[in-house]
Amino acid sequence: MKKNTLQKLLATALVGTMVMSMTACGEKETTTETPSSSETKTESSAAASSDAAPAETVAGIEGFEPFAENVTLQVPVYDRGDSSNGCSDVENNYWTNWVQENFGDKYNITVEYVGITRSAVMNDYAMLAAGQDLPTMCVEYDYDKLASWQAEGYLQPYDIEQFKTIAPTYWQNMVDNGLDAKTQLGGEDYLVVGTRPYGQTTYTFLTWYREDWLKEAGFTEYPQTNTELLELYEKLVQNGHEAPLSGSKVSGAGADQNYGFRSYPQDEITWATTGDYQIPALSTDAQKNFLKWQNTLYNKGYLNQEYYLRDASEVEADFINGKAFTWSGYVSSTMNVLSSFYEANPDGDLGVIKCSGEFTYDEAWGSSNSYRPGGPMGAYVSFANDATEDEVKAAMMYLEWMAQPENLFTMQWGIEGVNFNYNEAGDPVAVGDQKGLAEQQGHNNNVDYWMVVTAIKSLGDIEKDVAAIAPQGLPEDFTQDILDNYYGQLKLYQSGYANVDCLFASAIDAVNEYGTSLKEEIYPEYRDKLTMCKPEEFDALYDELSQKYLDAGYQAVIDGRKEAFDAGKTTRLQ
Amino acid sequence: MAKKSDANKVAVRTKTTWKHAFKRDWQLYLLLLFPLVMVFLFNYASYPGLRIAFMDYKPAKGYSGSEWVGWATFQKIFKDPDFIRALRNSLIFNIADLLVSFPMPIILALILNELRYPKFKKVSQTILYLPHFLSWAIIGSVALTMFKPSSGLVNIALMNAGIIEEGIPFLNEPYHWAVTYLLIGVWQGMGWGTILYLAAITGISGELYEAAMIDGAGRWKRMWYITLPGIKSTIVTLLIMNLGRVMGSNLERLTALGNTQVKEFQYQLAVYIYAKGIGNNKFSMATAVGLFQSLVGLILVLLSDKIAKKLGEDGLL
Repeated sequence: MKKNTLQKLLATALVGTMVMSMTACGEKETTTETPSSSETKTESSAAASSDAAPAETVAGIEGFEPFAENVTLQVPVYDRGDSSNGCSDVENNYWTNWVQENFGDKYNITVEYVGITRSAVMNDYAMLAAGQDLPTMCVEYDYDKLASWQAEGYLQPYDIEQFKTIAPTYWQNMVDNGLDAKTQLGGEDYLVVGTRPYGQTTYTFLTWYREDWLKEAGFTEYPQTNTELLELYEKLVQNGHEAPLSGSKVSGAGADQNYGFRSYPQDEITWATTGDYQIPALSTDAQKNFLKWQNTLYNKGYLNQEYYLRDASEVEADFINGKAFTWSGYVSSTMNVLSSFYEANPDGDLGVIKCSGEFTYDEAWGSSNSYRPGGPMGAYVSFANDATEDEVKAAMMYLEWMAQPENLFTMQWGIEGVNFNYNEAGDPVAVGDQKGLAEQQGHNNNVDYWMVVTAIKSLGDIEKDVAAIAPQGLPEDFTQDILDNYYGQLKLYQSGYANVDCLFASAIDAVNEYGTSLKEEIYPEYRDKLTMCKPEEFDALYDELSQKYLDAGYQAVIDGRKEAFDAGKTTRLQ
Repeated sequence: MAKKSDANKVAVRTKTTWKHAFKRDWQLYLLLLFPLVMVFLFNYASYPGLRIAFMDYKPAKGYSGSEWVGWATFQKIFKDPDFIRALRNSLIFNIADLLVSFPMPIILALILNELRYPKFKKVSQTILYLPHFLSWAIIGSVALTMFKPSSGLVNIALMNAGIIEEGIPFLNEPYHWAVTYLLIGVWQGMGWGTILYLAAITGISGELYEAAMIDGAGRWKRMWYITLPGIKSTIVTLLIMNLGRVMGSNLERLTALGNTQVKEFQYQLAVYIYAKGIGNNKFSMATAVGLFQSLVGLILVLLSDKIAKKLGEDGLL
């Protein structure tokens, strides 16, 4: 009898546990007790905007009122992996809670951050769309991605007058930067656009080099042409610095940019059809120049011979360990790579490659000191197709709230005495090492949270801005170098030797059809073949692989872009 | 008298009704419920989703908003040279994998069965099972560290020992990569694969071995004439199941061990589905290829089952 009872109990408990665990599988972990987003959507739709009305009559944040029913706002945030996120959990940390307390709680909005893998943005969004679970806002820096999402039906158009009413500060930022004309996709208003101060330059993207190695090689300053660079690399190897350029496999968009290998002034058709950085322009002269340069670097042993098996983190490690001549990255006040470098190489001397401001062209390599200016556009923001009216309003309120100078300042700089301090001039200076702080900011001073407003934090003055972002706590100060590079690039841009990429009024079908496989699958394979082939085989192989690349869809991409260009549905070369 | 009573008892038992059986064993049926629900949920409830293969499916538009295109996606796939390349590679590698990987667990099980020192046997088994629990990401990074052409540990050791002058391109030359890929697969799976065979071996009557020993059969003969025939039905069952996977491929394994230099061989159906399908937002294409894989797998299982039965084996179904 006892045995039977025990069996019954055990069976019931076991099944109960199984059912519980099965139920738990479907639950999403959340820190606040809120209804699931689908429930919220139904409820808030039912509530509509009759008694749950944010400001529609009073413009801006002054007119905001709490929603009658709680609204869930899902905001995407890049998840860059543990090593570069800054704070440990991008979806739940001090700053996400700060937003909830200072924005969400005030207006009865539950702000949920949705981590998007930085290196797999399209895949993540596709998965979310497939699960009918897109975040309320879809955000990306690349226009092409938004165009593709619009074509796939991820997005919904919005009422621009409503946006102007709810988010006048945000809208004014767009107007001030000439972005109010960039709201449309396929003839309807889909986009609001964050700003990008200093977009005529690469601004925060710089390359550091070993100045001590340079001097050791007998050079007084960094070479201005590729021909001079080859002389330098040869000396570096002679001095015992094996494979001084390190190297890693290419992946994703932005790989193998050929801006420094084009002819200037650019041909407008070539610029419009193949001048982007999303799909590598294999088959063009510029890409040929670029890859021939890579082929030379590989065959001369300046690149790591196993680069195609290595990750970007190994390049960082090489630089930190004193095995690489250069390292490129974004400047911020906290730069782990540089601080680690100085720890490992106390006698190391670094310099920054600076643009001289004079256009320098090297006939031998078809190369120059041109670069890709980001343009005035920061992140593009749109609203998910399944977002309810209230959720879209909540998103607009969020954008307006984030655009308020005091909120933006706190998100960018953090808390005085913890994340930043004021200098004698009264300007904020970020604390270099925030590791271990509860208030530790996310990647690059929380940029992934405030990117919806601006791509770069600015005090409105380049000198102050550079002083504020210059890496802190290092033995060397790079403030002047960063400034010099900025002014040099600005001069080049103003002379017409650096051009912002062409933008298209709507998605190009062929880009959607072939873009991802061209850049993710085919190009990496072909470019490695071209980099590693014997120099005498390069030209023939380039022609052969170019034809295959064109046949695999690149020709259709070029044709589609040309058609849009001819129809006047693109921006023009400045 | 006692015999009659026993006979009556047997007669009563044969008339057991479902109701009676459920009342008697309800705990067991309750336990069965969970796996049944899981099988239904994950193996059958997703079947309606297969219609994606016949639509130009846009996730954001759902089933109702997406256009029905019939066989158009399949026609497009079968004309795609990348699909043909992926199909060819998948077939070649899976057949090679079957030839190399399938016999290994059998051999290993036979060897393990012959080990006499129990502790050594258990430790050996545990060590052999371990790779099965490592993710392909870990195996991939270990393989990189071991087999890089010039900075891999194996090549460094061989070069330092003066056995080779330059590194063996384990990972960067397609044919070398193919061998590395297959052998790593064998290493990862063979230990775990022995479990079913060892279980089958324990089912063989000890009396057979004793009788054979009395007749003068040595270890080799006992293995050949008793153990192997004893697990033949298990071998056939597993072979049939493995044949069903000839069209499949493992994205994790291919990604962890792949690089641009071996794309020619590494480009298999799983890579095709991920890169051209899911990665490109082409869910219809991904589903169509998946459906094709499953159907071919099913046909192979049915065919091999039929052949096995014709050869006098029990088969699977």
